[in-house]
Amino acid sequence: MVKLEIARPDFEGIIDRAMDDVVGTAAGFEVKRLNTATEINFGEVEITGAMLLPGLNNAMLTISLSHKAAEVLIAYMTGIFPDQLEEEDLYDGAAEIVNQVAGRIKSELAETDYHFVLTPPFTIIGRGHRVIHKSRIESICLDYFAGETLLKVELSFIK
Amino acid sequence: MIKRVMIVDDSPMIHTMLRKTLESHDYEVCADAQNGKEAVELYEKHKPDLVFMDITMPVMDGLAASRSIKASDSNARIIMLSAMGDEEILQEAESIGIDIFLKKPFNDYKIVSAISKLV
Repeated sequence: MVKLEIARPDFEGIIDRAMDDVVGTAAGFEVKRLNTATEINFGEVEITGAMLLPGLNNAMLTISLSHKAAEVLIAYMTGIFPDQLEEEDLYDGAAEIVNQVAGRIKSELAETDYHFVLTPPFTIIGRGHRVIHKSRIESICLDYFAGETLLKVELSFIK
Repeated sequence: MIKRVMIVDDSPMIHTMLRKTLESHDYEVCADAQNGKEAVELYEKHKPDLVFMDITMPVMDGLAASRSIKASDSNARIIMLSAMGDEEILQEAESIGIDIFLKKPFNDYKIVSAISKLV
């Protein structure tokens, strides 16, 4: 009997393309993934856009950034000057970014065992917050530099 | 001729981005709706030339709202804007009579190009 191994999708490449497409198109930034060896001052995480992704392998997508990074990114996306943005604009912006990135990832995973459905995005706020998963998970954690902003993306599958 | 546009999305940021693009190209945003139910009511009231409709929204989703609008006005022009692009969704949108399906993210060029295809 031949045991077929299901190839693990190239999650890193899929997330790269999604980030490039979403942040690049909406904000006009060149998006670059930072390698793990890069030392860079990320700044305190204050806003995280999040989405639960139910599927054969339940998952969660989060995109975290500092308050300053959110101001810059949302300003470029909306055309509103940073000092004119309300807090609600930043929270909604973070949710919308994760919504669109999830949509792109979904398209690429549609024909795989990691396919999922989209759910309403939400935003976690608080200076220095972290998202801690209790269950055993496989996490893909990637850092991106876009314009003047740094974004932490985490795609976590619950085993 | 397309002049008056209604935007339907539960994200204020999408309203802001679309409005900015549309107004900079001399389109008038005549109504804003946050969900499908509002969209159906406002469509009846304002009779826009074009509707930009999101899919995933509370109360009533964009596909149901589009179906309802098309049932009352078969000439209604609707551009669906969504982060989703499953084959199933596309087929359902087509069966409803959605004119154009645009995947988010969008930029000025995509929006203006889409509208020009309907003229």
